[in-house]
Amino acid sequence: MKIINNENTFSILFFLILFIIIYFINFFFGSAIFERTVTNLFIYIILVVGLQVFMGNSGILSFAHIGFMSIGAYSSGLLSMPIKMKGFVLRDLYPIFENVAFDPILSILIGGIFTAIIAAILTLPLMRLNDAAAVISSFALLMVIHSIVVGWSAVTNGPRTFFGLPKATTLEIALIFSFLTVIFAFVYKNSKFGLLLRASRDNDIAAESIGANIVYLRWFAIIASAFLAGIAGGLWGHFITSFSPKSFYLKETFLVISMLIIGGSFTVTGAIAGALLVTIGYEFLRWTEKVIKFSDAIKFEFIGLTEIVLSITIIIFLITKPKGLFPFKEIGDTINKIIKKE
Amino acid sequence: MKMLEINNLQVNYGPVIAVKKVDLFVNQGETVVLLGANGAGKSSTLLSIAGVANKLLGKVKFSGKDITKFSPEKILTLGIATVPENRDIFPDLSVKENLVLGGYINRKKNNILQDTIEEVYNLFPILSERNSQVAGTLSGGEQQMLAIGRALMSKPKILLLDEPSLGLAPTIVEKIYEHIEQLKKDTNLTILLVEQHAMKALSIADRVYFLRLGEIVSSGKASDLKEKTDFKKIYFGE
Amino acid sequence: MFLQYIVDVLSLGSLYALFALGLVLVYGILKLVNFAYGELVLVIGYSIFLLKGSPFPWFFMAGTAILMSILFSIFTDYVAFRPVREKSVTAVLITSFAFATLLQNAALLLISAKPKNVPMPSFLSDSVQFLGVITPVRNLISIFVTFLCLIIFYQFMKRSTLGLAMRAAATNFNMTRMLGIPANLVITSAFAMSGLLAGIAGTLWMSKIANVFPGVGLEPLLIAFIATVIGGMRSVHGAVLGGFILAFIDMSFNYLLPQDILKFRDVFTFSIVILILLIRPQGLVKGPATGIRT
Repeated sequence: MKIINNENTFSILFFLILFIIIYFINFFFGSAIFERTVTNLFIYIILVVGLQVFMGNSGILSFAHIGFMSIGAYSSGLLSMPIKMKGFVLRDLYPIFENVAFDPILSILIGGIFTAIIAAILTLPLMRLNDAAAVISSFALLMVIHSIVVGWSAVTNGPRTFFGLPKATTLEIALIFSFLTVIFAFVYKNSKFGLLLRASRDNDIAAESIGANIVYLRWFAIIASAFLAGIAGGLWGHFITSFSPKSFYLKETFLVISMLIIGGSFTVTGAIAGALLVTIGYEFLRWTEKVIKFSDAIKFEFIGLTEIVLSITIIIFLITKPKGLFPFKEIGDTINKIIKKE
Repeated sequence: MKMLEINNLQVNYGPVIAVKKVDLFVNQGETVVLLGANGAGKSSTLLSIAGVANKLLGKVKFSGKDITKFSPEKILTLGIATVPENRDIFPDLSVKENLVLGGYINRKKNNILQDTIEEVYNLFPILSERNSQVAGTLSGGEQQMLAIGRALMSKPKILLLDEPSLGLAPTIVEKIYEHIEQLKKDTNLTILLVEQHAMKALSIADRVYFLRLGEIVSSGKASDLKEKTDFKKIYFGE
Repeated sequence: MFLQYIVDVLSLGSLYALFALGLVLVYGILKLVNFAYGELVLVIGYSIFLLKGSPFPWFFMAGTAILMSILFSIFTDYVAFRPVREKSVTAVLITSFAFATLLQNAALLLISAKPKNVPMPSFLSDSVQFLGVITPVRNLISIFVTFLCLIIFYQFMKRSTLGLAMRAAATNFNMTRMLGIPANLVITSAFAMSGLLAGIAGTLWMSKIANVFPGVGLEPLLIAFIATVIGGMRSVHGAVLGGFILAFIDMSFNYLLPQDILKFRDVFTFSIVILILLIRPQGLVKGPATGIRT
């Protein structure tokens, strides 16, 4: 199967057009809040598609993804933080970092690469595990990363807020990175690596008989996945300009996994759809919480409502549509079919 | 009256169709044998009666009642007991504990439970000897006897036996079949027996069905067949 | 000094062991991980809190809380397990995770994000002195209660028909059903017992921290998790052993390590988890044979 085939091309074109439409909606009608939401959306698309690259092709649930995001956020922040801020935020910082401050975008890229390297080292032995063991080990990995981030105050400011990052992530930058991620995901999915990995997902013995080295295939996928998570982390960090280890823990893990499950973990379209829907739903519910609070209509604070609705939604989805909204076909496949009919 | 009746059965495991079309029946007091090579669909047929196989099509009737969609628990309470292919005894529980579980539906009636255990020990004296031994340490033949004894604990009306000779030495197989014959004499229990080991099975059978590649290809009285030797052809399909 | 250490490890270990046991009960039979398990401690804490100020004696409040824990455990089965059990192992992980999130946020929404004080009988915090050991009463009660629970539990599993059925179900669920033993009864019993154990352990936990907040269930969940992986996910003995081992590790770290290394304690414990999964995934104590001959 050619890497750039009709279905792929249609899918990529579809999302290009969709992203551009979103951009122009914001350009003409968007408020500040809308622009924030859309930028956040594009960052989350990178995050969820990154998770899809590993989970969708290998079939293994990974809890470590947000951990990788945090590595990207902190490492890129460390590199790009203005020197004066560094002295203020990170009192015990190692001398080697004290006087450097790189361009934010460069920092984000280096952060992504650094995350990929860390992932490569930490995950190789885990890639031969299956089923429950693989999932539990990924969960343990998340805990380990979280714990290190909380404890290594010299570079992370520990459990306290890590602030002072330059606000470098614009909507345009987020969009571009997002689109590049989407292209990568489609290319990977239909490449030899993606195909063999998916074959192993469905039947590992058969796959090995045609020469698939499952451990390395998974490893490559999780490194790519971690790189994307690191990039997303860097972009997010430079968007929100301050964060703490609390921003990269179970709540966010649950959110990302929800997006992927609801959309459909087997397809890139699913990942994007999930990110889109959950973001819209999330923002709507948050807005509802605020409106009720400010209107004094009901003397009751609806904190937690969003998460409750999300939890219930995900349970319902898993019961009724366990493979998600887009279980098998990418949007390009559907377009291709429509065109062929005409 | 037909005690057990199967019509138009089709069983699948995912994309593989294990049983294409099976029709058979068992009368009360009969011993019916289902013969066939590996992969013919014998176990799947039995398991579908027991309620654990995935039935695509067909009906299973017991004493006239349609039990096709019943759960395994319900099927046992109706009087159908199964001894599966792997015996599936609980290896970490003792012989006695295995038997007690077999008699679960009679657990409230303590004297029935005790009496039935005694009956099983009479039939299989070796189990009495080993009654507090952990079942996983029993020999293959002993495990087979335990599995049969356990099935008898529920005082079933019909016993489904899946390849009792599997993995056992010929002398042990002899013993097992002796026990089964004794069982038939004592209780007139209805039996549906699935086997690859044709000769032994035929010796206790009233009627025989031949299963090949998921379909019944031949059937008849065992006494008629014992005379003919061309059942080998039907069996292997030469 | 050494005796003090032993008492500390035993009292912490007894708590951990109960938590681990509750988790392994469900895993052993269903082969599924219950992510909502830790929230039973949340249920305990908030139940006692909500009963504060009522005219009932403390024992009654604790008893009601434990009852709530049992009910919520059974409820977890109906909400998160039963609908998706057949679908996939991953699905159950996520639904139970979602259910846990649901419970935490329900507490957030209906009660408060702020920690609430959970009233405990004051005598529990009184110190007891013997043989050079100083320890609060509740530690000794922990050890005693756990000991009692383990004996009762062991006897129940060994002698009662239901216990027998549960052990059989953990080995071979299908065969158990083919003997006429109702699957639903076995599963509900497992969840109920899991809820009971978590409830008792949770009450003891509350006596330690005296506080409840929406995220209170995370630590017990992780403890149960780690203890079971170390000790053996398919073995009841393993889970209990794992609990004591983990307590031993945690206590030793507290005693021996300086503060700035101590904050990386979780890194160490979770690395052990990963190591065990790599080297001996079944844990230290092997579970029941599966009874299937290849």
